[in-house]
Amino acid sequence: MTTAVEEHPKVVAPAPEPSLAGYVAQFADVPSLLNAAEKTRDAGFKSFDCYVPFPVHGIDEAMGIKPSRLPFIVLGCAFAGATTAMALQYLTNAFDYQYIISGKPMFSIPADMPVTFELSVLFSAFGALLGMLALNNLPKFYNRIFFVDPFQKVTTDGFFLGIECEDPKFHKEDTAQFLKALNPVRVDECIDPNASTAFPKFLAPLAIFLLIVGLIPLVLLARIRAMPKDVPRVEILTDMDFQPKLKSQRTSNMFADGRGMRPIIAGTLARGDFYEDIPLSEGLEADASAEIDHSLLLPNAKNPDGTTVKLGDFAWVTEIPLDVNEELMARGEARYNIYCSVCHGKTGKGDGLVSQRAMALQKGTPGIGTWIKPITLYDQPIRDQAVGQIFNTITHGVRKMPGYASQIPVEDRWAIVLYVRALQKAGSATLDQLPEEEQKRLQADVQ
Amino acid sequence: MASISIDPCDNTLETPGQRAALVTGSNTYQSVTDKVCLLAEKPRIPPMYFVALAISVTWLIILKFCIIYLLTTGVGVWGNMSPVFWGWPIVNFVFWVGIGHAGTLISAILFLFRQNWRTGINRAAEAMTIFAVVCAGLFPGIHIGRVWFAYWLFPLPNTMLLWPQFRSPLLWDVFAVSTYATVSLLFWYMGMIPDLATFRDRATSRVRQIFYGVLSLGWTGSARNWSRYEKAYLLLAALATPLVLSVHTIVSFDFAVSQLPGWHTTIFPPYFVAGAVFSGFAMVATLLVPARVLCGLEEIITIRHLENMCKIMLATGTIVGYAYAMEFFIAWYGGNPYEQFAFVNRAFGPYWWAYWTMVSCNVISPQFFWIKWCRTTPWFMVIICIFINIGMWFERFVITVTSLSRDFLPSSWGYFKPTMIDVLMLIGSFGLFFTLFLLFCRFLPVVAMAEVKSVMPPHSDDHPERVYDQVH
Repeated sequence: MTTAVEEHPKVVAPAPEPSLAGYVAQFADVPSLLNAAEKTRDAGFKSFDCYVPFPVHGIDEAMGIKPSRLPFIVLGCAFAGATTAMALQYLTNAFDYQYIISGKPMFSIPADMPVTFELSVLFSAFGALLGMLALNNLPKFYNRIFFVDPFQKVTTDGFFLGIECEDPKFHKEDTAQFLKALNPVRVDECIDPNASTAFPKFLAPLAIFLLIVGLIPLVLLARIRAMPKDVPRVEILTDMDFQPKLKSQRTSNMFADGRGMRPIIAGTLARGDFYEDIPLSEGLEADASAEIDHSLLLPNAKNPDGTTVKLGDFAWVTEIPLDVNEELMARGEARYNIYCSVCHGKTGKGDGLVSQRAMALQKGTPGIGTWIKPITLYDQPIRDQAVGQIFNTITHGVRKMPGYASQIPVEDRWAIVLYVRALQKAGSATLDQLPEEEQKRLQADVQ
Repeated sequence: MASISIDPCDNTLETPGQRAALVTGSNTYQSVTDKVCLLAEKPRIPPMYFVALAISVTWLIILKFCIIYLLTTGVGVWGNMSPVFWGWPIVNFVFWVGIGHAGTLISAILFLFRQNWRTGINRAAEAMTIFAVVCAGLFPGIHIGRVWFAYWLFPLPNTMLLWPQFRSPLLWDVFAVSTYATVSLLFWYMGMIPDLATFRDRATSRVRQIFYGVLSLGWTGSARNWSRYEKAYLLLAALATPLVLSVHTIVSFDFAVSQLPGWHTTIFPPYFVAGAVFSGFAMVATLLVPARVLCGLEEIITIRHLENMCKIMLATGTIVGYAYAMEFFIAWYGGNPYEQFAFVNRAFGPYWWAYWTMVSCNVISPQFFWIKWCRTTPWFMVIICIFINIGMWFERFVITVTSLSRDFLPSSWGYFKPTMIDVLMLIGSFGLFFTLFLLFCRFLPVVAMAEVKSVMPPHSDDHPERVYDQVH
C-alpha cells in the first residue's frame, strides 16, 4: 500500500490519518512542573513546552528560554512613529501648506512634540501587541495540542509539559517513559487528527458571489450619479445649500402681504439712497438733474468730446434750500472751522495751516510738490458761482480738494455754503458798507 | 483574658512581617475561575442585572434620540451661546476623559510599581477606561456641528489641499485622545487573551466556543508564549504610563495654551492629571462596589482593594484641593488684575454655587477617608465617590464656563444656561457608559483570572526561587 502511494504520489493523495504528535504530561503544581521542565531541558529536548494557566516565575530559566527580541521591535516602532510624526508635520505645515500662527516658526519643534510623542507611543503599542502575536505564531486556531483530553484545564489550573515528535531526541517509547519518571499526574498521547486546515471548498465561490451581490447597490448608485437627470438630485447632506431665509423678490408667508421684501417704514431713508429733494441733495434744479450725466459733476470731469466740463453752465440752485437763520449760520461757522479752515483758513483766504506747511515744504525744491494753494473764497469767480455749485464742490471736491459727502451731512454742507457766502461778503466789503459804530471803531484802530 | 477575634476574611489588618492576602476565603485556582466566569456562564442571570441594563439602555436610547435631534437641527439645541461656546459638551468631554485615567493608572502605573493588589480590579478598570473614552469621544465629535466632516480632524489628503494646524492644542488633543483610546483598547484586549482562552475552554456551546475561540487567537498557555506576552505587557505598561500622563496634560493645554484669564496657567497639566485620577478612582469604586456583589466577587475584589482605592482618592483629592488653593495664590501673587478678577469671580461671582459645590465635593468629602470605617464600608464609600464625581464634573464646568462667560469686554458678558438637551445628553452618556459596562460584565472576563492566580498563595507566598531550589 505504501509503495503504491510512493509510485503515484500525485494521483492518490494520502488520506489524513491521525498520527502521534507527541506526549503531554500533566503535573499537580508549579514546583513539580519546574522540576520536570529542568529535567527535560537537561535531557537535551528542544521541541518541548510548558503550558500553564498564569505566568510562572522561574520557568524561563527552568526551560532555558532566551530573552525575547520584542523590545527591539518596539524600539524600532517607536522610532518609526517619531519619524512619521515629524515628517508629517514638516510636510504638511512647513512645506505643503505653510501658514503663520502667532509668529511661530513654520517648523516649530516644541509645538510638534505632543504629536510626535503620541505617534511614537501608538506605533510602539501596535509593535508590542502585534510583535508578541507574530513571535508567538498567533493567531493559530488549529493546534493539535487542543485535541489532548485534559488540556482544557490549562487555562484554569492545569500545569502541562509537552514534548513534540519533531524533536530529534523524540522516541515513541523512551520519551513516554522519561515523562512518567518525572512524577506527573498523568501522561497523554497527543494524537494529531491531521484534519484539513484548508478553507472549505464552497467558501471561495460563496465569498465571490456575496462580494458581487454586495457591489450591486454601489454600482447602481454610481450609475445614478453619472446619468443626467431632469429633476434635482437627492442630496443626503445638504449642508447649507438650502437655507430658510428671505431673498429679494421672493414671496414669504411670514408677512400678511405675502412679500418677502419689506416696504420702507414711513419717514426713514435707506443708507445710500438718494434724497427725493434733488435741489437739497445735489444743488441742481430737479429738471436739470434728470437730464445730465452725474459723473460730469465730479472734479476734473471731461465731456464726451474731450473738453473740460464747464460746471458754471449747469442749472444750479441759486437759493439755499433751507431756512436761512442765525442758527444755520452758527452751524455753518462751526462746520467750516472744523472741516474747511485747515486749508482755506478761518477767513477763507486760502492760508490754512495745512496749506502754509505744504507751501513751506515746496518752497526750497520747486517742482517736487504738487500742492495747489486753495483759491481765495471771496475771489470774484467764486462769488459769481451759484450756491448750488459751491455745494457741489463741497460734495464732490475740486482739483486737490477731496469730496466731503461722506463726512458732512447734506444740511451741514448747506450751512457751510451759507457761511462761505458770509465770508465772501465780509472779504469784499468796503468801509461804508459797515454799520456806523463799526466804521468809527475801525478808524480809531487805524489811527 | 479577653482574646481578640480576627476575621480571617478581613484583609485590611496590617500584620507585621506578613503580606495581607489578596484573595480571601479558601479559594483555589479552580474556584477563582468558577467565580469569575459565573455571570458570563450562568444560565440564570440575576434580575438586578436586567433592571440595571433596562435603565441604562433607556438612557442610551434617549441619548441616541438627542443626537439625532442635534444632527438634524444643529448645535443650537444646546445652551452654547455667545460668549460661552464651550458649554456642556466640552465639560462632559473633559469629565469623561478624566474618568478613563484611573483604569490606565491601575493597569500600567501600578503594574510598574509592582502593586499586586491591582490584579483584582485592573480588568474592570481598563474596561471602564475604554467606555469612558467612548463617552468622551462622543462629545467633541458631535460638538463640531457637521459630524459627517469629523474626518477633517485628521490629516487626510483632500481636494481643498488643506492640512490641519499642528501647532494647535486642539489638534494635539485629537492625536492624544485617539492614541489613548487605541492603546487602552490594545492593552485591555491583550490582557484579556488568556482569560478569553479560559472562556473558550469552558464553553459548553459551539457558538461560545467559536466566539471566544476566535477572540483568544488560539492561546495555549505555552510558557514560551507567556514569556513574550509578559515582555509585551511590561512594554505596554511602560508606554501607557507616560501616555496617560500626556493625555490629560494635552487636554489641559486646550485651556492653558489660550490667553484667557483663569485658563492661562502652568498649574493646569499636573492639576488636571491629579483630578483625572481622582475622578477615575471614584468611578471605579462606584462601579466595583455593586459589581463585586452582582458577580459574586467579594473574595477577589476584597475590602482591601476598595480601601486602597480610597487611599488613592484621599491623596489625589488632597492634591486637587492644594491646586485650587495654589491657583488663588498665584492669581494674587502674579499681580495680574484680570487673573485676579477671574478667580474672585469664580468664587464669588454669578457661578459661586458651582465653585463651592466643587470645593465641598472634591476637597472636603475625600477627607472622610482618613477614617478607617469610611474606607472599609462599601455603601459609605459609594456615597462619597458619587459626591466626588459630581464635584469633578463641576470642576470642569467651573473652569470652562466661568472664564468664558466673562469675555474681555464687559458688554459681551453672559450667563450660561443649559437646555434640556444638554441635561438629557449628560445623563444619556451615563446610560451609554453603564450599558457598555453591564455588557462587559455579562460577556467578558470581569477579573484578570491569570493575573489573580499569579498572586495567589502558594505561588506568591512561597518564593518561587526557593521552591525551585527545594525541588533540586
